[in-house]
Amino acid sequence: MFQLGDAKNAGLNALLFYSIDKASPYALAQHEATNSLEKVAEFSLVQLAITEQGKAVMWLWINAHSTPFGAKPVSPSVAGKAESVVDVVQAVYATIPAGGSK
Amino acid sequence: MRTSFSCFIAFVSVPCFGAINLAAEEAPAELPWDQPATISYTRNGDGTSSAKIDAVLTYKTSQPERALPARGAYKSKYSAGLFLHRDTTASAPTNDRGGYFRFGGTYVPDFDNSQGVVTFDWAGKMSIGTTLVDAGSAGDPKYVDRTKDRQVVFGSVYYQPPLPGTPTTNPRPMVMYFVTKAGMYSDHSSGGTTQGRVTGHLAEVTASVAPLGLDPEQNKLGRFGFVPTITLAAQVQKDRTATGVRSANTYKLYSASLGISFSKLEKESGGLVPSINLTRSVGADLLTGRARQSKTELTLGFTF
Repeated sequence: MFQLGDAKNAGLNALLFYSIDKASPYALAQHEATNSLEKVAEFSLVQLAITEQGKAVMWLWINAHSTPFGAKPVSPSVAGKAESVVDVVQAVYATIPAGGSK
Repeated sequence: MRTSFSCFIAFVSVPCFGAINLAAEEAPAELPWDQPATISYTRNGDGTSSAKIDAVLTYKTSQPERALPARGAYKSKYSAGLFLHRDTTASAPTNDRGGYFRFGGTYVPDFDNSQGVVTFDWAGKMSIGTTLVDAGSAGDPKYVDRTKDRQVVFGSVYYQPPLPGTPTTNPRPMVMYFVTKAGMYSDHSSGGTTQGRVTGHLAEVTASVAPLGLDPEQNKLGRFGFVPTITLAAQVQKDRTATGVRSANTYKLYSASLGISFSKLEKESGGLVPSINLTRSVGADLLTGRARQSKTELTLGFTF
């Protein structure tokens, strides 16, 4: 079972948090309680008030910027099933080949 | 590339009599086809009835997402498909069918993340087919088939205003979002008494509100959670030029709808999941062949 603590790539974690913050109408980065990927890991995407268009924003931003961190674009069929922050992190990390994370 | 495949069949009653609905969501899930289709049967209080079919069979594909130098991100999309819009209502029939090609893109700007959610979209669409047009005179309509070709290009902006505070695991914040669209169109009809081309501008504003938030876990009804959404839309198409025997007109369409989508609170498989949608619309739409009319539609659906 994947745990958020398994995600060791700080740069990719920062990108994932930035992408989720961009898709959520909450100002996540500006509040102490929600200003990192670990702190928002308990939430589902709808709890962050992320709409269907917000999900599109999130995945577009992740897939456009994740290549430098060793990840590949997440396919729409996988992205469409992600319902929580952990699901998103897991889907992105699953694209990194073994030993390919920077 | 979108990979969902859905089929939606509904029987609709105006005014609201019984309704049955069958749908098959995401089957098969891995095809790049998108096929929303609605078949409605309407039985009126005076014993008359009519049928309505809206179907668009679409093949979609897209280019990989890419980062832009100014920290934005962009994705281009292409689609081609077949469409059918048919309504047998005697006073305002519709029979619009043909094929289309559409291209466009979505740009996500790198605005301050605390200022809400914003995207910019644009699209161009070309279609050719056959439509039913009124070739009669005032007070004496006569509907005949005519070949149509249409070209539309538009840009749109999606905006979801920021929410105050921080999220919680039991939220019910009112969520709202807006889409504004503006563009140009050309509509050509060949043959007979409706020959000619009109060109014009279009504008559309859509406002959606989910008054109880987006989380079905917070709104429970038996073993289902539900999310109600209210959507208000207004659009106008204004002809600027007209050739042949056609004259310049203005087409306005207003609609208000209440949709309630249910979902299972427990992730067991099987069983039916209901959905309800009540829509009131008034007006005409040149680009879908909708004649000027007012109607109320209630759709009761079950997804399995």
